[in-house]
This record gives sequence, structure tokens and C-alpha cells, in this order.
Amino acid sequence: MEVVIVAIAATLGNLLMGWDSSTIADKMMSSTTVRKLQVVSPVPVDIDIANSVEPVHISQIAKDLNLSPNHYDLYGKYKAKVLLSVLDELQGSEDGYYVVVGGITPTPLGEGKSTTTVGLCQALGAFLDKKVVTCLRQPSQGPTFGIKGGAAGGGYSQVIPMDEFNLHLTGDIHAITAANNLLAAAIDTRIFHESTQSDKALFNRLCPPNKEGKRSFSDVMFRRLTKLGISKTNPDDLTPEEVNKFARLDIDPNSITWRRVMDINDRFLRKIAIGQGLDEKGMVRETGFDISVASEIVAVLALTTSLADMRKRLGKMVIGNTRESHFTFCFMLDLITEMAQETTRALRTGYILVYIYIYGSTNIFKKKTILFCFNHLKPIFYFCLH
Amino acid sequence: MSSSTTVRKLQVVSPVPADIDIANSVEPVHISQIAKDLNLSPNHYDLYGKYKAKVLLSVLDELQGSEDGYYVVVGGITPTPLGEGKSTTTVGLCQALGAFLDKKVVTCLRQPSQGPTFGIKGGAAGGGYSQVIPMDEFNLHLTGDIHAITAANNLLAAAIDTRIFHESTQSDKALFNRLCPPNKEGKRSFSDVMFRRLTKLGISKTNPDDLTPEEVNKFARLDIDPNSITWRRVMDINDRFLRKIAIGQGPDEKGMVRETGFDISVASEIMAVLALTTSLADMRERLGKMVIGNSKSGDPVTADDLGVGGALTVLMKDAIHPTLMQTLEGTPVLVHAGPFANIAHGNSSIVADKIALKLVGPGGFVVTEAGFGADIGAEKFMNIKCRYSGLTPQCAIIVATIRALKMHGGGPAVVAGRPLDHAYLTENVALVEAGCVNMARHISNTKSYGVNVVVAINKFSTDTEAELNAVRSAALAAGAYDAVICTHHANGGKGAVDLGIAVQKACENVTQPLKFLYPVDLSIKEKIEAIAKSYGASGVEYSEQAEKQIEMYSKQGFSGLPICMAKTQYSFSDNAAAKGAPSGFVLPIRDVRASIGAGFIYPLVGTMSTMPGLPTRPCFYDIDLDTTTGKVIGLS
Repeated sequence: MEVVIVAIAATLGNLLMGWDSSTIADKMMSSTTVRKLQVVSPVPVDIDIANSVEPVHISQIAKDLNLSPNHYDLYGKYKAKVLLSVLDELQGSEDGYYVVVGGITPTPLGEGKSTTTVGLCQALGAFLDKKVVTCLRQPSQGPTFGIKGGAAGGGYSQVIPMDEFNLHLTGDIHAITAANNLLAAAIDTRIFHESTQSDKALFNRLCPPNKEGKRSFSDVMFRRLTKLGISKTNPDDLTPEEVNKFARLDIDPNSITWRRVMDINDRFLRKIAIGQGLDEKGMVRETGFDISVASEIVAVLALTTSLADMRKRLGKMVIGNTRESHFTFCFMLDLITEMAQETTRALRTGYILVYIYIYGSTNIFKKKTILFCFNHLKPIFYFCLH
Repeated sequence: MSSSTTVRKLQVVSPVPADIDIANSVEPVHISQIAKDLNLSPNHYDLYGKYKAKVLLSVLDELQGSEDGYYVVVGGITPTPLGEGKSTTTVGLCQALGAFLDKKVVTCLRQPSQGPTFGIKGGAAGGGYSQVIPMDEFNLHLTGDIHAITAANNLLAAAIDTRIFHESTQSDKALFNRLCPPNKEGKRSFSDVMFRRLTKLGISKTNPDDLTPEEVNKFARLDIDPNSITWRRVMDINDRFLRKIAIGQGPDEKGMVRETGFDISVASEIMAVLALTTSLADMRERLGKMVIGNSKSGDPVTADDLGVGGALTVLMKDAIHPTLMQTLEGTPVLVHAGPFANIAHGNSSIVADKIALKLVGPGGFVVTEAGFGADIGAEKFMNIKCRYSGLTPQCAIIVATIRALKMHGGGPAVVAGRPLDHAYLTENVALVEAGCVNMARHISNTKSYGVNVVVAINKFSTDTEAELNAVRSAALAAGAYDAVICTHHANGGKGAVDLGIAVQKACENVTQPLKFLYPVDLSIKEKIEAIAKSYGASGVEYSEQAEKQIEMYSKQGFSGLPICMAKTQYSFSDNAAAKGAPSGFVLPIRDVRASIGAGFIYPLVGTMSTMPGLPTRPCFYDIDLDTTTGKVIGLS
């Protein structure tokens, strides 16, 4: 098991410091990797300072923290992922001191909180001979290629290698981007498939028979069944009503809060219309992209405490709502039908035909054909379609 | 030859368990041990966890004087939607060569896209007892190369729209002032990437202040024609709702709405650049030369014109190194690049093959897989990849299955996700023989490159001896160097030993030099027609759009590039339902695109989608995590 250093390193760092002090109380282990910098004035640019210092191989840094090779995975020569399993090993150790760095309300240029955080830790470790770990957020790539530049600290207080810190790192933000967008694709695709298939067809595809003709629920499906209060374990035992509840999420497109993400500054994706291809059968929807670090999945990663906890939090993310107001909507639809028919009789001009599919427990509302006089009912037209 | 300490022979179970269960039942060797067996020193690779490493390009400098090993490409007959086991055969053959025939061997494979893993097809690590492990690490993220491609592609896309926006709202002077701002001492300078644009414009001045107003206008204004933009955004998820979108609808974008869409990441030109590049310097050049569209006066606009060529290279600098993994039987695998074969050139990278050929040395084997049927993957391997790499293969394998041959012989349609018709489960020698015309044409086409062709008959449990022998006879009659029945899915490397022996003999007995299907100095149309002829077409017809594009690319000086056909993988023709060996048809070229940085012209035959969709029940329903052990569950 492994997670990013940002998620658990705060606890880990403190555990490590406590462990060390409790077991070697009278003899502080001397670090073999800490060194003092030779500084130049005026201060050169950050990348030149970073490139002037040869990083120590990360296995040496890990060794100084008393991490055994079983508890970390190397990612090249200067990065490693610390595995969550180290928490089990250090469960009995006491914590070290826990310090948070904040700031006054900043200018757009930033006031140097990252630089201060790094500088303080360099002081504690290199000059005051203390066990110290710095816990930082992984920077987004967007600002790196945009206007702000990197976030590895500055001047003679930096995280190195600077380029590896600011780009990709160990791929965690890429993983968040992929996970966020898989969920987004699942939402639109599910709405599409529900709009083109009957309950029976949906169910048949969700629980297809295997080679021996037997159906089964996958593990994740039991979570939905539990949520619906259905305790059956054999798909063939479900009643038609239960099949409908299980197979139809009946997502209200207007309620969807889940947006796609990418880790690039791209203002043209702030507001977009998706589903404009012919094969998507007119299911156009307005949405947009956030930058990846705005995804709820980043927040889950930052707040989770274990792999099992992360699994629960990811599954519980809410993407939108069902169409709870379908009766109200259908009621309005009846009024609109009558209005349209009246207007059509009176004006007989500019017809447009619209099919609206409404999903609910009552078959009478399954499908309605509405005849609109486009020129006069345009506001209602847009209301119905959006 | 040092004796390998990591190769082992599998104990197999019958019937064959699920792929993920087989993969999880074998403990991988620490990848540093695999590297040691290849005589790689720790300076020449970076560990990525315990079972993956990136082999650094610097190893090529060290091994410059070494001779290459044998170079083998695995293609196939025209497949069913279920796939005929090319990846499994590639891995099984290497397990045979390494674990049973005691040869130095490296497998070179494409990195699978994540889209299909969560979509409908599942993973691509081989199958049964012939797999790359760890399977979950192979199919997800790997070492982040596709993520890097996604980021680089979308950075360029953002640069395009943003540049159009800024040019629409600023004067020449204001644009120039921002592109070359004065520093603290009031001095302006050009960045390195700007000199490329200046050179392209024929401006030799080095001081921004020396430019005339006319030169400022030419330099600062790319004047991109929005209707000409071919560059799309990408993501590595199957999401059909992003195929066609409208962007820029926010109020701050001042009405600059534009229609575009997303492709899947492995369809990006940057993926093709990664697969075809030969060095870091070459990659920098290719990335900068990528054409995103035209100016309003018809000139091509490149990534370097937008100022982003260097940044793209920075994002890709680690992706250029291939990833070392292993098979179930402990033989080394280099995984690198993964362009789709039906919409790109469908082969893994040149740099991985070059490294592997040096590492195995004379008498060793490098086996690489070309995507889909030999009319697609192997054709592009020969005419595009070998042209750019300068490497020469000795042997091409064509993987055939009774199932696919029955389909070509007139059997009922094979549909993914549906049970097979009984015609595929019971003996029917006549149906198999009727379908061998497809295999025969692939053999004939592939032999014309000068390589020896070995047919690997991937045996399924439903195949009978009579059917298998009929295929073997037909293959030999069609001119194959040899034809071998293989059971590597059920038996691992042991099931492909005969194939290994046949491949070794084929490599040792090459009599002809490599011969391309067409020289690149032919016109674009002549090259397209040469490929169409190999498909069995009687002629080619070009749409109005295709004619226009061909004329434009020729005028812009790009007619010397090889051709990368985007065609359905399910038929030699443009009609996926035309099985067997169709002939006499006219091949319709609907559109022509270009990947100038990757270095090929890209005709579209019929309708090709570059962003797959998700089915009602995608694979992700079965994928979960055992949160106690951290093991992946349900990955196929």
C-alpha cells in the first residue's frame, strides 16, 4: 500500500521524530545528509540555486529517518513514496511537535509562506540539529506554465530537485485527473444509456449472464442495493419495481455539480457545451473544467486516514441529484401541452416537434409529444430543453 | 552469456484461471534483478517502486559499439472484436525463448491506454500464463508517460485558444510588449524558442528593439485561422460526450466560442512523437514542428510559433525513457509509448527497441508487437517505424486463430460482450479453410518487405486437430517460412517453444534486404494508392475535403512524409463487414490530416472515431481494491 507523502507525512513525520527520541533519548543520532549552504549575494534566480546543489540520493534521506527499504518505493534517484504500512510499524511511538505556518492576507505576489516553511526547517535541521520533516502540498502544473511559476520555496530555501517538485512529481495529480474524469464520463454515459434503453435492457446489461447463464451482482452494486433497502443477493429475484429502482439512477442533468478537470490553465474550458456529436442524440449539456487541484478527490486525498477510509470517501462523493421534482415537471408539461395546442390552432406557423422523455414510476408520463409554435413559445421551449 | 538468475518455469493449472488471479499468484522479482541480468548498471536506470524501472537513454551511448540482436515483429490476421491474442503470443514467445530456450530476450510492448481498461476491452498485459506483471501496474498509470502526454497536449491546446484571444484584444505594440517585456534594467530579449519563429520568418535580428513595425506584426501575430485548427484536447478516459464540444462559452471569453473536441490521449500526435523519436534532441525538434493549424494566409502554425515547444519537451523529458518490467516467467519487458493502430501508427517506441537490441546482443531476440492486423500495425511498423529507426527486422509473426478464420470464412458476426455462435465452438474444417484467404493475403503482404513470415496459430480449447492442421497447411502453401500451433495461454512459455525454435530459424535464414512498400519521394496520392493496393483495392477515391488537404500539405512542403492510414481494423477494406480477402473495391479517403512533428500524413478511410465511449456496464463495475492488502480486484 502506498499513498502520497502529502496525505500522511504530517503524522508520519511526527511519529518518526517521536520514535527516535523515545528510543535514543540520551544520544541524538547525527544526520549524515544535512549540510550548510554557501550563499551568494545578490541572490541568484531559484532554478540556478536549485541546480547548483547536488541532491543526496533519496535512500540516504530515508535512512536518516530510520525508514527501512520495505517502507518506501524509489521513484528515480531523488524521490520516494513512503508507504502507509510504516504507520503500523510505528504505532506505539509518540508524536513530535506539530507546527503550522500561516500568513497575513497576501498580495497577489505571495508573501513567502513556502519559503519560510522550508527555511525554518533548514534552520531546525541543519543549524539546530533537530529531527525535522516538512510537509507541503504538491504544486499544480497549471501555475507553473502560467504566470505564478513554481512553489518549491525560493532563494536559498527550496525543495529540490525543483523541476521534479513542480512537474509530475510522482503522478498523484495525474491520478486525480484520471479518477475525476472517469467519474464525469460515467455520469453522462449513464444518462445516455438510461435514455435509450428499457428497464429490462439496462438490467440485462448491468448483470449479464455468464457462460453458465447465471447472473450476479458485483461488489460495488451491493452498495446501491443496500442504499435502496433491497437485501436480495440474486439478480433474478428482483421484482420489476426493484429492477427499475436499481437500474435507473434517474439523474437530473441540471443538478450535476461534478465537473471535469485538467491540470492546465485553460480559460476556454471554464464553460463549455458537451455532447454535440450526432451519436449523442441531442443530449447537449453545459458544464466546464476546473483545475485538477480543485477536484473533490484532492480533498479526499488530503483528509483521508487510510486506504479503507479513502475507499469509503470516494464512494460517497455526491455528483448530483435524482429527478425528485418529476411530478411538478410533468404537471407543468401538461399545461404547456394545452398552451401549445391552443396556440397552434390559432397561429399555424413555425412548428417544431419535440419529444420529451420523463422517467418516473408512472407509465403515463413515459413519453409525451409536444407540438410547439417556436416563434411564440421560445422561452418555454428553452425551459423544457434546459 | 551470463546465466539468468530470474528466469523460471511456471507451474500451470487447468482450466486456466482469470488473468488477474494468475498474475497475483506469481511473486515478481525485484526489478533491479531483472536489470542486472541485462547487464544494466544502476546508473542507467531509475527505480519506480519495486517492480518498475525507467531505463535511461544514456545506456545507448554506453552500448554504441555493440551489435544488435534479432528483431522480430508480431502482427496478426484481421481480428475479431475479441482480439486474437497478439499480446499473449508476444509474451508467450519471449517466455519460451528466455525460460525454455535459454536465449537473451527482451519484449517491447506498447503502454495500454487507461480508457479501454475501464471501458470494455480490459487490459493488455497478455493473458493466461503469458502476462506482463504486475498486471495492475502495467494497465494503470505505469510510470506516468500517458499522463505526461495528456498534460503536454492540453498545454498546447490552451496556448492556441489563449493566443487567439490575446491577439483579438491587443494591438501589435501591446502584444510585442508582453511577449518581450523589459527586465529590471529596461532591456528586452528574445527567449530561445522565439528565435525559431524569427528564423522561420527570415528575420535575423537578435535585439527586439531593432524590429520594424512590420516585423513586429509578423512576429507577434500568428493570425491563426480558427477553422483550420486540427489540434484537439485529449484525456485518457473513454468519454463520448467530449467527442464534439463547444468551448469558450464563459462571459470573460468575449464570445469566442469554438467547436472542438477531445481525443483519447494515445491518439495525440505527442504519443506518436514519443514512439518515433530517436533521442532527446530529436524529440525537442519534433515537438516544436507539430502543426496545429494554419494562419489566415495559409502558412502552417507550429508549437514553436506558439512558444511552447520547450515547455512540451520539459513535460516529456522523463517520458522518453522506456519502462522495464517482467513476464510471469521473469523475462524482461520494455514498455514504451502506445499509439492506437487504427487511428495512429500502432507501434511501441523506437528508443525501446534500440535499447533492447543492444542489451540482448548478437544472437539475442527483441520481440515487438504491432497493433491489430498486419495490414495496419505491421504495415506501419515497416513503412513508418523502420524508416525512421533505420532498424531491420528479420522475422514477422502473424498470429491466427480458428475463431477469426471461421469469421473470415463466412461464420456469423462476432460481437464483443455476446456469447459466440455455436459455429465457433464446433468443428468445421471447411469454414476454416474458406477463411484462410485472409491469412494468405497477410502472409503475402508481409513477405514483400523481405522478412521471413512465421504463422503462430493461437490454440483455443474449442479448436480441433483437423482445424489446426488445415491452417498450418494453408499457411505453408501461402509461403510462410513456418507455421506453429501454440498453447502459451494455457501453458506459458512451454506452449510456445516450437514457435521460438521456428522464429530462431527464420531469423538465422533471412535472404533479402528490407524493402519498403513505397519510396517517400512519391506524391501523397501515389503512396496512398500503393497501400490501398496491398489492401486489395482496385482504386482510391478522394472526397473534396481530402483533395483540398492533399493540395495544401503538398504546397506546404509536407508531401515527402510516409503515410499512416486510419482504417477500420476489422477488414482489409473500409467496410468492417467485408471479411475474408475482399478485392476490387474502391477505397474512399474521407479526409487527410497530418502529424508533422511525428512525421506522417494521416488519411482517414471511412469514419473513424478518436474518442471511444463507455458501454452500459463498463469494466469499472468489477474493479475495486482490497483495502487490507492493497491488491487490485477485478482488473481484466
